[in-house]
Amino acid sequence: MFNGLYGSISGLSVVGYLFLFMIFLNAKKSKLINSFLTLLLSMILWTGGSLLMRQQFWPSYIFWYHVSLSGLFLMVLSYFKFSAAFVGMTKNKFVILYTFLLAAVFAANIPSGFFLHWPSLQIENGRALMVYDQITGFVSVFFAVTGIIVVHMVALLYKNVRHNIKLRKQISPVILGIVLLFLGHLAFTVPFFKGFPIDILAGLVNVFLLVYVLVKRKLFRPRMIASSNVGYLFCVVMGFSVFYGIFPYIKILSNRNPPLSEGLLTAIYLVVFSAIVSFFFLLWKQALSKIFIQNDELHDEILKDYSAKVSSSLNLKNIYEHTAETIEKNTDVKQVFISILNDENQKYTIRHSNRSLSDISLVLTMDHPIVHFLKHHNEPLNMEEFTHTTAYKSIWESEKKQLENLKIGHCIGLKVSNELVGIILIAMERTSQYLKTQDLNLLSSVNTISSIAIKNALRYEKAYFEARIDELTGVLNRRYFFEVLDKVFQENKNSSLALLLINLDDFKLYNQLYGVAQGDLALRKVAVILKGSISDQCFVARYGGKEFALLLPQYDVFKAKKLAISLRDQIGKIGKTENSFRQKTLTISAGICISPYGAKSVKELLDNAEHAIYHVKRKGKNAIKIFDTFVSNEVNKSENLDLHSIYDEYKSTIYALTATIDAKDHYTFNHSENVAKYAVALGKRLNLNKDIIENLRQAALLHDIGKIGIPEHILNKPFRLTEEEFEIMKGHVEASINIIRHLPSLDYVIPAVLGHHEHYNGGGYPRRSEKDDIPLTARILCISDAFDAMISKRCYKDPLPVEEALYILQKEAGRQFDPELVPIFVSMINERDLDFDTQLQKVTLLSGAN
Amino acid sequence: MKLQDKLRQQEYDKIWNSYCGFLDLTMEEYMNIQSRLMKEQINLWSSCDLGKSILKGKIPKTIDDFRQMVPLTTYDDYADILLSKQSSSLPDSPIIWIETTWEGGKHPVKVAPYTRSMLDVYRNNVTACLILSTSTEKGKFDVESTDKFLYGLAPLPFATGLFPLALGEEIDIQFLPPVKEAENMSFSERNKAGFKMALKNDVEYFFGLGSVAYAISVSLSSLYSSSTSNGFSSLLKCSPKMAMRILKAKNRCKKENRALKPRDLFQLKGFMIAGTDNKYYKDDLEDLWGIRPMELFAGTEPSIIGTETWTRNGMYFFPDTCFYEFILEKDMLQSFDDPNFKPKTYLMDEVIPGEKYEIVLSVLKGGAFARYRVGDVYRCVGLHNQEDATLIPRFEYVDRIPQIIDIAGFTRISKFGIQSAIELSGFKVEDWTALKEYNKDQRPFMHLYVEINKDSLTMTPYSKEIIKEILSTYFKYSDQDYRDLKKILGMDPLEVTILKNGTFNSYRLQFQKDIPKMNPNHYEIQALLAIEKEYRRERMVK
Repeated sequence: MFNGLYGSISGLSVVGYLFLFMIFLNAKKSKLINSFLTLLLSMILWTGGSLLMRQQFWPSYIFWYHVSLSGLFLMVLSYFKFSAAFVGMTKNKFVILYTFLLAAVFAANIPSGFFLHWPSLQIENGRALMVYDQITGFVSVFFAVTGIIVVHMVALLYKNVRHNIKLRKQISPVILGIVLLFLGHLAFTVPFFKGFPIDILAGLVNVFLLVYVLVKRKLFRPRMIASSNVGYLFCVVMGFSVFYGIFPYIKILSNRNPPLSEGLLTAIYLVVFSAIVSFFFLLWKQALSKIFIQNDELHDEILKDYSAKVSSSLNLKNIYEHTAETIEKNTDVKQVFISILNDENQKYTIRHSNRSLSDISLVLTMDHPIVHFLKHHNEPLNMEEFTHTTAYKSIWESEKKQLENLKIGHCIGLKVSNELVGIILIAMERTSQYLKTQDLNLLSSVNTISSIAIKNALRYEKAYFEARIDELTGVLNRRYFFEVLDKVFQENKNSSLALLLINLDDFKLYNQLYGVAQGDLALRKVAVILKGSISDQCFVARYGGKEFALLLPQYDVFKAKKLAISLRDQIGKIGKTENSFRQKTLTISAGICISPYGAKSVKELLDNAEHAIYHVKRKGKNAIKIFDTFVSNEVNKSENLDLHSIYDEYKSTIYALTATIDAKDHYTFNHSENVAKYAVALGKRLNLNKDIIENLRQAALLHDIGKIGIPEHILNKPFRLTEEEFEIMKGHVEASINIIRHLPSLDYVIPAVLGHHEHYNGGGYPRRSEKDDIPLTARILCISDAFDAMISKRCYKDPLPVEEALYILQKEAGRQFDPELVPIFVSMINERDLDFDTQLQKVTLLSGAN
Repeated sequence: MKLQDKLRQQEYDKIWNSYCGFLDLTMEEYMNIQSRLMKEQINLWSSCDLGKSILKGKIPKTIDDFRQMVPLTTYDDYADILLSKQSSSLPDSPIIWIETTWEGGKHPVKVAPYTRSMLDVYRNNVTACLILSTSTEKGKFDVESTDKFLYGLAPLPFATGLFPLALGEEIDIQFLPPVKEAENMSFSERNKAGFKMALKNDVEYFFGLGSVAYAISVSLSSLYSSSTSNGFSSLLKCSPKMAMRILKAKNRCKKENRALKPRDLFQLKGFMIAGTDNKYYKDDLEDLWGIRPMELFAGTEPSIIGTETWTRNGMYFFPDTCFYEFILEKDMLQSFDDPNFKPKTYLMDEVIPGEKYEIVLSVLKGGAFARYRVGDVYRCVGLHNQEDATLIPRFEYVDRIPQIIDIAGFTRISKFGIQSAIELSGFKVEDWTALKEYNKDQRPFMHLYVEINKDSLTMTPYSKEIIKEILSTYFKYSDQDYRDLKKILGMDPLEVTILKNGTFNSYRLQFQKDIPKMNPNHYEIQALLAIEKEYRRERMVK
């Protein structure tokens, strides 16, 4: 009674399997999907073989019997593999054993049908029937083998899911499928089903159950791979197969008496066919809504997945990658760029692209019309539409070209509370291409999630960098440097690692001379030079206030020294770029230590580099020293020196130098000592502390020390100096500094010496400082120096009377001299302090004599 | 349209013409491309800060002006701007910075900027190499998007890492292992993973440095045995085709009683090698893989500049990568002896077959380097070739310039590097000279001839083994590549010969000049050894 149905059910099953096979070929491959594909293949072989056998297709029905049987064998095996993969077993030795076993049974069965003989072909009522009339007891072998595998499979499933409720729920349709399959084969022996392919129908149901399991397990997204078109085709093919199956029954209508007209018959055929196709269409729609995930659900799923990935991450790179990947995978875009606002320069620069070799040089300034649009609109910007707006007119040609080259079709603002933190730039295949509504919806949601995630990650990144980066110079801070040092040292245990410490000489003085702001600027410039001179594998850190550390993997001593020389030269040029006045040249004392040659541990590396730098400092600064045993010994010896006695150590040198000047400039005999006396007296009047007074005394003694290098004919010229000569004369200040710098621990006198020719109103030299920018000691020195010069005889002038000199001081107060200090100095002189009374008397006498 | 799309549409003639069409150029057409692109580059280069820093106020209008005004440059001329990656000072914005070691330089590494236009040219040219590697005659090639590539080169930031990325823009060839995974693997891990994947699903291409390709190939037997240690189960993991091949290969090797060779397992469509000393590896590689490797030349600064064809008989330079100038060997040598000597340069249409030239490159398409002495020497082997019907000069790679000793394309040792190692070792070396030589297996090594200070000889026992051992240690500390040479290739690249005291001085007196420190020529080294021999003989007589 079911004869006509056999062909159509088998055909239907084959079409169904093929359809699923095609769908799953597109799915992302995994062990489970692969085993499912094998299972489908076995179903195709089994059902297709059976169908072709019944159709007695070429070459022979026996051949197709074997094909069908091979499918059955393969099905058992692939079912086993599928179950193993489902419970997460990656390796199973039994697969090989069972493969052999089944292959052996199958091969043995081919020649004579020893285990399960092929059916004999019988003709009944003109129809061909396949009758299994030669089944012997040996068929039990076949059932035993497959039975063992099935039992093993069930045991496997039971063992793995009994404690896992979630997996148990997921596996129940698989079990149901197996039961159905088994019942289907069992029903085969029931006479009622004679000629009806109950086993094949059970197989078909079983496959759809497995699909359901895979969908539930979210191993693939059917909506993504089964498009509407595929669905329609499926409905038509299935409809046709069923129609083909029932056609003989409908055809009976044409034999009735009186016969139906041809038109009516055609109409009936059409109605039946349409009804079948509609049925399948409804089935498809139902499947889409029940089994296959709908668009909204898919959308939700993508977003859920994306949100889970980025919300928990504070790593900007990860967020960029996930964002670009989510957009690229789930929409029709060609490329994704993520542009982020740079807080420092207030420009949007591309920080990520999903293609490694993309041009990411596009920069959008704050006044860029795209930025303006995105700031004031919440919807994405479509480039094609934007080109027709007035705002587009302000885009530069170069910008247009760049946008066009990148094929930017849409721009989406990453906004958090109306703040545009970044822009997602979407490149399309063609710039004029529009995004689909569903893609736009997805982008909008991705955008909302990513905006917050990026904003948070940016904050974290900022905090991360602030904790590790020195705020002033932008290089690593000291604390983080030690972390890096440990890490890099370990990484370079088998190669060389250089540590270069750079200490800026006289930087305290630099700050005093030019102010802290200029000092900070210089530090920033030094940091830029250091960062710009090393490669990405190296590190720069601010090691101390005026000290930097460079960590140089794979540098040997020679390379490190070469680098230090280059840095010294570059740093030395910092002051020279300022045209307004000549700044003090920044010099460095550098210490280098290299592991493994000079150190075997991190501590040794640091200690030895510091020893080297200390050595340079002791030797007069402005030099580069590589740590070696010699340095080490020497530094250790001198460490015990009493630093407080340093002035005494150089005392004789200072007096010798002063005497040289006095001897050279005959008219300034004892000038330095006189200036020292006035300056000290004024300091005392001002109630300055002992240290500063001592500083004043030493500075006064050394203030003209640079004149040692001025030619005698200029020093003693009886007439007015030419401009050129005056320039040379002015150079004595810098020259003084250069000499004093070589007297370690006398740094502190330099501000006073350097500023003693500066004028209160900014008209002096060498740096034209004014008012409080000139150190107090220098202002004191300035008055003392001028006063002594006025009341002394010089080659070009006679001494002025004290009163007149005081008058000039008062007249120049506020211009050349500090207006607050002058009255104090004048009253001090007028009160004739005993300390310099004698000197003044001499001057008065001399004045009188002239 | 990408190569993949063109392949899908079966536009094979179009593909050949667009990528390999440069092989059909006449000399005049070739030079037209060179000069037009160079004019564009002159405009870009002369107006950027980098160009201005070298031109020092001069403004070239023509190529002749450019060649007159721009001196021959070395990396030192670019170091300040490039090492600090000052993109705004360059002719065009770089997309990526490529890195390599800078032997003898003031930094361990040097970097080179690549613009988008350069990458476009690079992409087209690597595709040309891919096509040519499979070609058997003009217009015939066999490239498919399902092909797989065993890649034995270093990932980014090294120039070799660009290859898969650029090729990926043209065709979805699968790299074994995938580039993203390979980036996080060590050299041996990469090879093992790649080989395992190849064993499962076959491989169609292989690309590596000649020396490295050889090292990988000979170690294939061990890689194979470790991959198939599970016997039959590992066979099941392979595709049926590969399983069959493995079984056949095993059988064949057993019959022939020999170790397994890659050609037993794989039938490559294309095999490419790069680097130096390739000529000493080509025959062995052909024997191992059953296909002769196609040599191509690429460098960090110029990107890929030349390739061989199906004839495997000389390389052709791509006309759109660089503007090429050539210095005659004798002028090159003179320029090393006399820094004030300005060697004359010749253009591509002025080279003579048989002559050896040092190449001078100006990178086109917004590249940074102009009239740059990259340090390679080529020999022109012909101006046209009947075999592949070309009308442009073809070259063979000779070696690095004599100032550099390049061992198997792996490490470049300079005079500075040797001097550093000697100084660091503390040996009282009176004088030395170093020479690249080849052992009986035609493998390169560095031969260092040293003369130890006479006084120190009485204080310390020196033997050539001790000196070799200690110098090797210092080379390894200061040169990452040297370390890898031993680790990866298993090569010991140093040989030391201690010469008798006074040998160098006698040479000086006899020839009125010092023997060159680096790569003295055959006659110079023979003369030095003859003097030494004479010394020994005299001592024996005494």
